[in-house]
Amino acid sequence: MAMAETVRLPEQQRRRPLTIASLPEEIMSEILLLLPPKSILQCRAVCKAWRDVTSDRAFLLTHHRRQPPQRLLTFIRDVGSHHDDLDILDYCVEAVDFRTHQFQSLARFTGQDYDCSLEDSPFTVHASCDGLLLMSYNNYLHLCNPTTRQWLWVSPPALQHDKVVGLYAHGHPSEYRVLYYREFGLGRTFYITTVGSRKERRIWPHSSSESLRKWLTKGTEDTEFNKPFLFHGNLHWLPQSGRQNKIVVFDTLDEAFRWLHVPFKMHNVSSLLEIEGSLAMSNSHIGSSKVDLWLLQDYKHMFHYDMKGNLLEKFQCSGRMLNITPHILQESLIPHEPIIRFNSTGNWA
Amino acid sequence: MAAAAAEATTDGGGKMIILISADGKRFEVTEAVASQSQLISNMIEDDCTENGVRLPNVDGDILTMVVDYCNMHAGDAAAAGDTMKASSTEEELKKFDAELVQALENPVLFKLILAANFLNIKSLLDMTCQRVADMMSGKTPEQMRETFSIENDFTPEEEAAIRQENAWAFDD
Repeated sequence: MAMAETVRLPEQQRRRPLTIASLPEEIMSEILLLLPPKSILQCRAVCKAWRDVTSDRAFLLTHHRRQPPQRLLTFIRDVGSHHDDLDILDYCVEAVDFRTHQFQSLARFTGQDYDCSLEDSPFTVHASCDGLLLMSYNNYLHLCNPTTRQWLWVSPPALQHDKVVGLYAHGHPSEYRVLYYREFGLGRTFYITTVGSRKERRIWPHSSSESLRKWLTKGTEDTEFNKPFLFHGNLHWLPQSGRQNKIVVFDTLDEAFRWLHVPFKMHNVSSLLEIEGSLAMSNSHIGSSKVDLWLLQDYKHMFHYDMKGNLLEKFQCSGRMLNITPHILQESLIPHEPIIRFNSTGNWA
Repeated sequence: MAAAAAEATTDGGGKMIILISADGKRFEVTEAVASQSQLISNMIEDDCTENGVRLPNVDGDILTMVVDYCNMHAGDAAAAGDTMKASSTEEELKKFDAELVQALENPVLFKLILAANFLNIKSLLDMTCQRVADMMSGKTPEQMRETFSIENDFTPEEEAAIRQENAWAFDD
């Protein structure tokens, strides 16, 4: 009872009609956290109090963490009709929220058509981290935040001879690093660059395992690093050739590679994912609707789950070459240092 | 009087307690209903509800809504065992919740938020905050100022600078 008495408002204040400004700051902050990114930016122009709340770094970090994880899709859309023969395409990136089945257009590169039977697509989404996307078009590598529509070119690596392996955050406040390799003769050498530094640093060889060192430098098809999975700050890959029982981990603090053994042989159709805060692996059986799910606990134990795959929704894509990437985007309004330094006007290609 | 009423019990189960609003209105509710407020739940645990619970921050009209809300949602927990009944109750609850917040004038909605916050009823606080967020979503800064009677305290230059920073967000 005493507690209730002490917070009693003065009579005239209690009688005055309440406005939104009468709400305590922490409640106002909770309300603003419920808004989508675009509305937050609009709130900044309403009044000074809202601008201050929605520009605060801790607020933006909480907002980022509460955004739904969205899976990235890429596809190609023809520009113009078939008759004008312009050979111009849009390379599109969209995000889908599997809980609401909502699609959102994120980025589009307009460029020349290419012969998909002869060459790889000139457009690739390499990685995603903290609401940032690492994408390349015609060997130009871009790091962009589709939520704030800010971007910058990343160089090195030079994609003519370097292959991107992954993107990760390092330190507080975060700087962003790109891991990539360059092939020399029969071997490959790994490098790290901090985005915005324009410098690179060689890190190869760095693994306590002889077999892993061999595997990393072998440079054959089954060592393709084409689907990095970022989990708890470390990068993970599944070996590409079938029936392996090891995952490759890049520890971003030690800058070292290591094997992670799993208790079964993986099939060709396996992928890494995150389920309720744990690293998980799905393992599909060819010719069956069965999917095995394995959850990794503290890098030591995996638990086995069995799940029936049910078709939830069909989705029709207006373009072609649809690719559901392994990358997840959680939108972020945080002003990422390297990006705002290089592109403060917020222009969007 | 209050003490006698507070001791009373009903068939539905649980001791009754009396809630007293700022303007002296009295509401008799079961402990189960009142316990949805974390504040009152703590008071029940500490055994200090005997003489009724005075809520000097909450007016009678607002406390009426809060008690209605708690009565409605306490039934939910009781019906949880019966699947058929629970699912129909869930629909009713959704409808009840939507109607409760949608018709409210802004000052009343804000009072309800303050009451939910003071009484620490998380589900009611979440629902009322979501209602305000829904009213903000998709509106331009001018429309938001109008909806919530907010004074524009920016100089024209300051406002232009903010709009320039993320110009795309202000394109309609």
